Amino acid sequence: MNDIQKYIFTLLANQGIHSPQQFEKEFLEFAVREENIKNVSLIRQLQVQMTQAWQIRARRLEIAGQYITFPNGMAGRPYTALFNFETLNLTDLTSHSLTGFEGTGLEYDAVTRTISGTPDQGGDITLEFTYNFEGEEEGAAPNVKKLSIIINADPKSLWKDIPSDANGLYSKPDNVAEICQLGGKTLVAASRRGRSHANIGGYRDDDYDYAELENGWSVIAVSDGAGSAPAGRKGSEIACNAVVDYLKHQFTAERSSVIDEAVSANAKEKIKELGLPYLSGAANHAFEEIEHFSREAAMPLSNFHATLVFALVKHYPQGSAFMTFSIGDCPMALLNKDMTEVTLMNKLDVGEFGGGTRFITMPEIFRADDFEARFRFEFVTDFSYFVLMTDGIYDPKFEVEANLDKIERWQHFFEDLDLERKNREALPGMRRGNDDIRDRLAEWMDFWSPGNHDDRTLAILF
Amino acid sequence: MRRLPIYFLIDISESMVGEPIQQVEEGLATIIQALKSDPHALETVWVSIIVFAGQAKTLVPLQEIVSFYPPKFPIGSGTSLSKGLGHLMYELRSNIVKTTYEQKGDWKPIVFLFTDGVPTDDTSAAIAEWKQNWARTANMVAISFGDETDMRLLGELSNDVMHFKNTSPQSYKAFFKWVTDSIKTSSISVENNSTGFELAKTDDETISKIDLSKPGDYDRGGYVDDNFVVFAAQCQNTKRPYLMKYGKVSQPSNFGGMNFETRAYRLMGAYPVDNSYYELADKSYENNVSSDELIGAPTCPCCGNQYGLAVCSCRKIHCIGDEEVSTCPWCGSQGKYTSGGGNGGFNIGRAQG
Repeated sequence: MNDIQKYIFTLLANQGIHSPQQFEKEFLEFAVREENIKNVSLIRQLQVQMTQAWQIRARRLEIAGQYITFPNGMAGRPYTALFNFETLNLTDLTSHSLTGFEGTGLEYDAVTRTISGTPDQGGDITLEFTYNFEGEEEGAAPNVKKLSIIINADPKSLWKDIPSDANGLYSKPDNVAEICQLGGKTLVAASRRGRSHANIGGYRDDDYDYAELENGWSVIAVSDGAGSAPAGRKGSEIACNAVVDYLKHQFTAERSSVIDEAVSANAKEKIKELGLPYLSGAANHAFEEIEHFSREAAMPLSNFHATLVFALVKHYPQGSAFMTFSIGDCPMALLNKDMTEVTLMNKLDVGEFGGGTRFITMPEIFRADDFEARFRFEFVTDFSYFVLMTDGIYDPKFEVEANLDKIERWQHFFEDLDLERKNREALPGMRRGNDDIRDRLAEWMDFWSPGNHDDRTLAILF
Repeated sequence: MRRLPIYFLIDISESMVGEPIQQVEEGLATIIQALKSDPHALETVWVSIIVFAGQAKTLVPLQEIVSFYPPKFPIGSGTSLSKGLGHLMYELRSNIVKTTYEQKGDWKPIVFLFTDGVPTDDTSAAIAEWKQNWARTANMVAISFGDETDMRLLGELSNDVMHFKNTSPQSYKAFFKWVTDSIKTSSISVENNSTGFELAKTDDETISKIDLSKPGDYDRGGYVDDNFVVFAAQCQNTKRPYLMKYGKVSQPSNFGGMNFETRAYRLMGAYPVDNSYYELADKSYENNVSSDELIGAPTCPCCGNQYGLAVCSCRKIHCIGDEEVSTCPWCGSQGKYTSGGGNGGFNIGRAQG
């Protein structure tokens, strides 16, 4: 049988007509008649047309339903994306255009199929993708599909800086910085309200205080009011002031002179033993003052949760004595003269999932077994910097406790801080000397670190 | 910096087909868009989407919201909550960074579970594992879409079981705003060193907290979701899968002067799905519903054939047009159809929903 005969035979068989087998000779004649040859070819043409028409329709549906995405961009950052027909399986497109870039800062080059430019603001850019593909008739209306590019806003631009209400309850200045002589050394300190508070016009929760005491001693205290505590900012303020106040009155020249004798005799254990009552007295006093204040204000003590670190310092001809107390997560560190060694003065209270810190406002800490471990004593022959900071500095700059032990992290920290502005030309008209150091610190405190927007306090003795 | 991982564990069983899944799709896109305008969330929140039907899979791996692009949600057969939970725990194990002396860990992850029905498998082992290993290290919020979820089961998983009455596009809007606000407050409170998990206030109109200590009709059992009847079918012309969804209605029926309530299902719509439907389906399952209980029949959503619910002798469903002889796209057999009239209708294999 030839092709035509086969075709008609199958057509009949499909309808359950099997007589061609019975009348084979007649069928073969019938099948090659002129009009049948014409008809079969016509049927075949129509079949091809129908198949093609369906294929085109299916392809149209396929592209219309296809999930086409472009990478996300960021406002103010250069953006390029390739409209990749190969990976998107769109190589059968005969023409296309991509429009809707007006006023977005981006443009599309249809030849290289590249979207590029710098988007100027965050938001979703909706684009119109028009196209024709192989198989469609000449002049067929273009198909249209909506595509979008997501442009993220620059996180920095989202943070507002709303001044806090200077007349509100327990108000304090948003940002402070100062420099002074303290016991024959220089103290530079700054406390800066974090972006998370600035964003809502909230107050700074951190605080610090310091004082020269009798007989050459001085004290530096730093505290971080808990963000979850409604009056944490007051708790931190009372804690610092109470410590300074207590030592001014209790750690008199008369009482501290015995420590001088122990230093002369190089009796370190003795020094610690003599200093301890004053340190624990000061910590206790901080607790009592906050407790008293909370009763007066008729608020629960937990509203005033705050961490607390403080140090008693005195410099002798043969070296310096540091006595410290710590509760919470504010690191204190001592760096030797040539910055090759760091001595940590405390162990931080941290929990497994963050937020596991302890506060001076928790009465149980005074009864806990580890209370003694909160005190530390060091006598060093020389030092370059003694640093106290809140977690607003520690989190972004050291990340984890393990890094506080690494001297290279500290070297890097001071390079970054660049108090002396060694790495830049002094600005014209800039004051030299101490004021410059203070202003430099105040300026540095505003550094950008994604996800780290807590209040920042840093006190450096050098 | 610390990440705040947010996991969405989403039921994509057949009963979610149509409006609910579209709303979830749009809702997640809006959540992410809103979070992007909040500087706290933008810098701390990481998002992952896990979907489950008869099988579970990760639709969006854990990523920063700046790189998030709204995904297209598939639909599958079955509601295997145990596979969903198992997959979630696997993802948590692989991704969550714990705080140690050497590294800064993540904030406590938050899981939002969306489901609209009754699990079609035994969940006790997965729930026990969750309670033992994860209940303390992650926060789970279980949200029931509609009235027919097994609340008591969700209560075993989480103390926060929410009931969402998905009645209108507005209620979806309100609901997704509530989810967004919960994430925002959490992203701020983690910075304040608190536990870092605070659900936003609810209006009790569209979303309300379920108190499981109060008596209520919470127990639902069985392994077929009885609130919807969903049929999986294949288009005769395009060979594409589609689903037909019927929602439960009670209709009074008068029998010998006495009133009875009989179960019936009204057509809600027919929806084309993509081939991922087969990938996410639980294949080991068969169940029937009588054609007498169905009200309405759809046209085929893939090719427009006038009748989308024809049952072949292989018991699978496809669409038919006015062709004399139809070919079943499932088994290839050919035949002519008559309407299943006469007495008592006929039974049709339904999907798990």
